Amino acid sequence: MAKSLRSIAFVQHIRPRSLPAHSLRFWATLCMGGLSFLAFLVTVVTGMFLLFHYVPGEQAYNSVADIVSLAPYGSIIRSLHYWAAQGMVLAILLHMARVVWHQAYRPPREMNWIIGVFLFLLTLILDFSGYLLRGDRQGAAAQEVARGLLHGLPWGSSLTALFFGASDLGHGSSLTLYVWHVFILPGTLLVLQLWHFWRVRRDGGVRPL
Amino acid sequence: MNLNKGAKHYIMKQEKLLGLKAKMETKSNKSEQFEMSRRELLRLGKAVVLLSMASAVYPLSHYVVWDSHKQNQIVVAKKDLMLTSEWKRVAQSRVWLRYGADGPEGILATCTHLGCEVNFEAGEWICPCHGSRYDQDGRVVHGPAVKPLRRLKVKEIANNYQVEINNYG
Amino acid sequence: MTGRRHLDTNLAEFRQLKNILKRPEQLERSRLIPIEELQVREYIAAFAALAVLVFISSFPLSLGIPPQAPLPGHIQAPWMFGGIQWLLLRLPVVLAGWIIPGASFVFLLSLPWWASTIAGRWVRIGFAAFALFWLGITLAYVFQV
Repeated sequence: MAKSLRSIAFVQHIRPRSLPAHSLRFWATLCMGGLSFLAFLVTVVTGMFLLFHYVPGEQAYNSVADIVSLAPYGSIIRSLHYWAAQGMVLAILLHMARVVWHQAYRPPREMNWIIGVFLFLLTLILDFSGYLLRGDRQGAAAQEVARGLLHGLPWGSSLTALFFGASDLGHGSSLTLYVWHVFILPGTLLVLQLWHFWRVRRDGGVRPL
Repeated sequence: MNLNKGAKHYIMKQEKLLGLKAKMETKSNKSEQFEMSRRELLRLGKAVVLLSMASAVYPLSHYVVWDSHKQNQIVVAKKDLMLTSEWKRVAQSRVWLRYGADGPEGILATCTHLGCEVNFEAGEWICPCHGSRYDQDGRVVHGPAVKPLRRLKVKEIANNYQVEINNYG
Repeated sequence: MTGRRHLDTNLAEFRQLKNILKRPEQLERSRLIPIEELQVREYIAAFAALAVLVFISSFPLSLGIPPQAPLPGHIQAPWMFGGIQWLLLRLPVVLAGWIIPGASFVFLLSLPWWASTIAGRWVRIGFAAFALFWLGITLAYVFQV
């Protein structure tokens, strides 16, 4: 297995060398944890390509329209980004249900469960920020709702400026939101995911009942 | 009595464990042969992944280098640009129009040397980068440029002038 | 395979030593399988999922209302936030926007500690009720409004 390339050996050390037979059953996990990570990778790669032509702020809607209608293969890249994001949420929900069904949050896996809940929350925030970045009317309305919700908190105006940008320009998309969606949130998500996978291995692997 | 039963049970379990271990060894020996085909399957899978990644390079490179600011066609209303025999610039573009002998003509104000934008002053086109100069009709008068300025076709459609540009400089 | 054994620190194989204490039928389930078996299954699942994704993505995806267009009378939220929107339409803001989602988050986080005090069966039932609540209001928003 590690005979092919020495560099591959580093990646392959992440996996265990062998597993108990009953954890391989398809209906045990439906591969949902792995599929959510696959969906994440698809969103990251397609998002990276969208970065070349997306313009945040006032021109957001026009840049998206250009990507979809004018750029070669732009519409499938954008569609993949959207559907992979939806698929990721669906996979996470099914994964969470599977974990609860198998009671795989019991010791020593409580920390991993907590990491997982934060992963879910981060995914939802990523989806929300991505929705706003489309720059259409629905996104603008959604941003107004979120701003209104955040204003109720202490230091509300600072919080809204931190996440959405100083003033609401009525476009939904903004440079501040762009930075969160493109860099900070995916980076945090990736770090937490790697910790999550490491914990799975450390806690003894996937063991359905 | 119980102790004996317990001991017997324990011994039976041990034998079963040994039997299973033996089965595991033979099974794993069998799966050594199987492992070969599993490895081949995995290699096939990796080859498919690499192949699809390689085949995606061409369309994705087209996507990346697509120019969103490229103008293929410029349309200007006639009333916005009253044409004379002197070159007049279409706003925010490198297209200049004038009324020539056979109707409206267009010229692209891009130096044919290395592509800088040229300006029309006192009957001459001057390139600020390396000093190329062209006359009124775009022919080279001086400078490192060799080819004349590119001429564009202008169509009169409704109340507009429509200029086709491909490979916008 | 035998050559690598003495260098192996794999937890699962280490646990094989505890198999002495297991019932025989459990031994069959925890018989060890090399990782390639899982990798093959993962490859197949990944390709199938990618094929489904690409197929779904080949259909056109709408752009939304342009920001310069006149404001419509009603704007529909996406399904993911349909539940919260359903609550926001009916309940006070603090309750619908902060208390209920916050309580849901705290409930999820605290799930392992519920399991240590009450039987596992009740945790499953509680989670199922929780999931059905959110699914219910999401569907109610998507199909009624």
